[in-house]
Amino acid sequence: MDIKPDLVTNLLDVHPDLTAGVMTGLAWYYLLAAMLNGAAAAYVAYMEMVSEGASRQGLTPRSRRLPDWLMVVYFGLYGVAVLFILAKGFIPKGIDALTIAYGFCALANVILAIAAGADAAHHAEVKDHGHGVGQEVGAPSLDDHIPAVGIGGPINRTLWTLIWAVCAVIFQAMGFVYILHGEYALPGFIRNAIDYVSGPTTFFTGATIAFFAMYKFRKQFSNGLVAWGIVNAFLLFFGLSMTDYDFRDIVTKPDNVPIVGLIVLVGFFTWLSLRRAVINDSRMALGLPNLEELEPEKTLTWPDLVYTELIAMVALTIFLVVWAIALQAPLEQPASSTTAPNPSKAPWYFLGLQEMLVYFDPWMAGVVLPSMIVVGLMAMPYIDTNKQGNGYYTIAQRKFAYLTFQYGYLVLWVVLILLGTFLRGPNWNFFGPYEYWDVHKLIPLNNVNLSEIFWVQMLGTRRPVNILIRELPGILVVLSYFILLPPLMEKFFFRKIRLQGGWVRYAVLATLILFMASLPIKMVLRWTLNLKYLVAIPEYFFNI
Amino acid sequence: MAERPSVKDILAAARKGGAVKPTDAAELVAAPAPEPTLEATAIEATTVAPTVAAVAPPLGRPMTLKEKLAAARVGATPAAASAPVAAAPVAATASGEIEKAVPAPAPSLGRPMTLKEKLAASRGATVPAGASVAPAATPSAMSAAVPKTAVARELPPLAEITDPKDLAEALRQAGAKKDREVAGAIAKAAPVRPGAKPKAEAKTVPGRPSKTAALSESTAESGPSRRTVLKFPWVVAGWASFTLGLTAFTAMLGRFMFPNVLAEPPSTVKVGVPSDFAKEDVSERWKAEWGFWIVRTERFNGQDILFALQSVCTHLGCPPNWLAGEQKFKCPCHGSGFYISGVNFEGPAPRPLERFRVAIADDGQIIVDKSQKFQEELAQWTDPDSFLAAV
Repeated sequence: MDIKPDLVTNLLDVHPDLTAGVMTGLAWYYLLAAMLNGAAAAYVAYMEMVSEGASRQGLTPRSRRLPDWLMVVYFGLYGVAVLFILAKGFIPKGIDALTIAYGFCALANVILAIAAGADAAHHAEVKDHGHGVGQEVGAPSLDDHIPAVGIGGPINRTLWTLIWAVCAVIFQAMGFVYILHGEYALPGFIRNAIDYVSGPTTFFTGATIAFFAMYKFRKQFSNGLVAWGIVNAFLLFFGLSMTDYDFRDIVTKPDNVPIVGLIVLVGFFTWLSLRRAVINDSRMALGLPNLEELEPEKTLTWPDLVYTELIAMVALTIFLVVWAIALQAPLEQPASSTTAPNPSKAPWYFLGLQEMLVYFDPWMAGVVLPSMIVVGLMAMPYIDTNKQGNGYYTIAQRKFAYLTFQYGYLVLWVVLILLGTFLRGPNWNFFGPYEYWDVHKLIPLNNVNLSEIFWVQMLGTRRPVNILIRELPGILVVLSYFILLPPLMEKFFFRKIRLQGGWVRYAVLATLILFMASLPIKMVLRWTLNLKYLVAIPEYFFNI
Repeated sequence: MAERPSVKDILAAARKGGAVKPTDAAELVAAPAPEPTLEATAIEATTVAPTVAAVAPPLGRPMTLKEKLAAARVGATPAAASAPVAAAPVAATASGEIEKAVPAPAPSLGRPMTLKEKLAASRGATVPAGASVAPAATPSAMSAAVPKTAVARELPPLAEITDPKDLAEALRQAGAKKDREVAGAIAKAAPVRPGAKPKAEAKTVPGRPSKTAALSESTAESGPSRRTVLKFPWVVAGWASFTLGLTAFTAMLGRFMFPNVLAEPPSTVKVGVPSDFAKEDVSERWKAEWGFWIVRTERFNGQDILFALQSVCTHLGCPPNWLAGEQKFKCPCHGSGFYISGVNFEGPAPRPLERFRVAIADDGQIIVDKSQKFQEELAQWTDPDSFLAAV
């Protein structure tokens, strides 16, 4: 019997990149992406674009109306699709009702995107010929959207309608490829390249750089168009990555699904608060009232808040019930004191702590640093002497507070959770997102203590027997870190804060900051010098 | 315009048993827009006020609930006729109806009231009602809103009353009169407070009771002193038994911390003769049940030795795995790595794995004793009990 060799490998391949189920899932995923982009195109083309605060200033009135026929066709096609899905049982075999339904949905998306784009283009043409809304050339016309103060210049609605329409069509085309069983996976060389560059060092350093870039370019980042572009890039990255077996395996674990949701939620709310802060800062710089002052109307606890809470509670309960039914509980083997799953992972919210434990002794990463986090959060209101930013979003008035808190929260906590969830594999080794979790992956991690580096490598002698002398270099380093740095920091960075709050407040603040900074510092030392502990006295369980 | 009483003052007033002086409440309602019409209603409110104010003077002790209710009833009387609503409905509808109840501000402002104003208005009306221990203020707030008819009407003599409502009203008035008399008598009996400065008079809320006055009052009473209380045998017995009980409970709690049955597995196990173990090999047979590996290696000090290595990571206590291909122990929790000798070399583990005591039994088998450990960093691995020379 003649068997094609590639067929054999396909049959034997226990880690298939693409299966029928995956391709169907991806087809619907891209349908969703196309739907979102179609909606974005229609929104830019037809809607009154009222950005935050713009209802008072820079309101763009509706210059065109969403045609009724478009809505009828759009929802009609989706309705037909739903009918096909509902009538699945009555349709004779040989006809795939789901594929037909998919076709109708896709048609609706494409029609919406194309109609919005075409309409916008036509309108722009009419306007250019002087029959439009009529304003002198060059000045923002009614067809340009003037975003909220601080979010860049006028937006050409025609252009951006077309861009999102094209995105919608592309996503829809990708979806069609999958529904018609086109096997299209992320090219291997891209996967290998990403795996190659990913490591704890690049991941953490990249996250830190991305964080400061977000801060630095916050005006651009808070622009809705840029943000939507990032969303699209993320959608594309996720969709392509799902064609990889190992990526899919990690992401779809019932344990890890919430983390995917966490990325979306944290990202969205960070962006939202940042955007409002950017707008507020720009408004206040112009002497305008901030957004929160524009909305002085307070609502009442009863009924407004209580009703909202009730509805949210009911909705969330339903959501949790559905989730619990849909995703099986990730139960593992019976507990045993002598065996542990490999990798052994803490609950997701403790994965940041677990990552800290890689770099510190348990009493440090498990007791001192978490206590410092809790105490530091409690101390915040007493340390903070900056009275600005009370009741409204702002970054410019609270730069230090914003940067410190967001770095601690986003980078030192959330990013470490992501790292622990998706990128830590067997033996707590680091694995790239597309890398197979090989138990035997060999990463040399020969770590040495500072005493070894100092006495043996630098001085070329044996380590002294006396523990205190042996660890003297480390002890000096740690002491000077905590004793010498605060005055230096005061001199160069925190003079204003010290003057406002006094020495006691400043001392507490400096201690907290130094403890917080100790984590990234220790990480960098581990990666660069393979440094295990600065002070290593295992005889008395004392290692720093 | 009177100063608005702070929450503290209102609470203090409530605690005293009196009320925020109703005049203030009336003024507060008028506060948002001091129009002439409103002034009138405020004055009307003050006409009602004295009846309540009579109750307010400090009694030298907190009012009893009964007295408070009586005070409330006295205040309620005028309003009750036209507005028999209790305090609760006022509070419930305050946000919505105050606008109606205080008609003046709306036209005068020439625009609907803002929420802030509404809240201020409702606070003026609801604060006394909210501090429901002193509901006396409510009626005055109400009367600020209701027309003049609110003033008490004449009731027929008690014997001729047929309407049960009137009867109840009459009884209420009679009771209130009595309460007033009692309160008046007590007020008269109370000494003049030395702390009552003129400023306190001007204040909207009765001042704090002076400490000295309170002390002089309490010493004036001829109650039992602390000493006599202590001598009272029942009290002593009660405290003694309470202490005893608490001690017993603490002891029981302490006992509860220790298990009834301590299933202590035998700490020694025989693992076979030394020749069973191959060179440079780790036997995992005893890991699952006993928690140690038997290791035979030359890589610790050049000699071919056998030892029992505890399978607990020295970082945080996870059980590492033996990776034969890499010839190392590797912890799944934080990535600590150990050579076959048990010496740590990668990851966060600060010290080598620990050895158990090993010995040769009479039958030639190796016996592992888990009750004794040997730690390298304490230089215990040189102890002859910590290893065996391989055969």
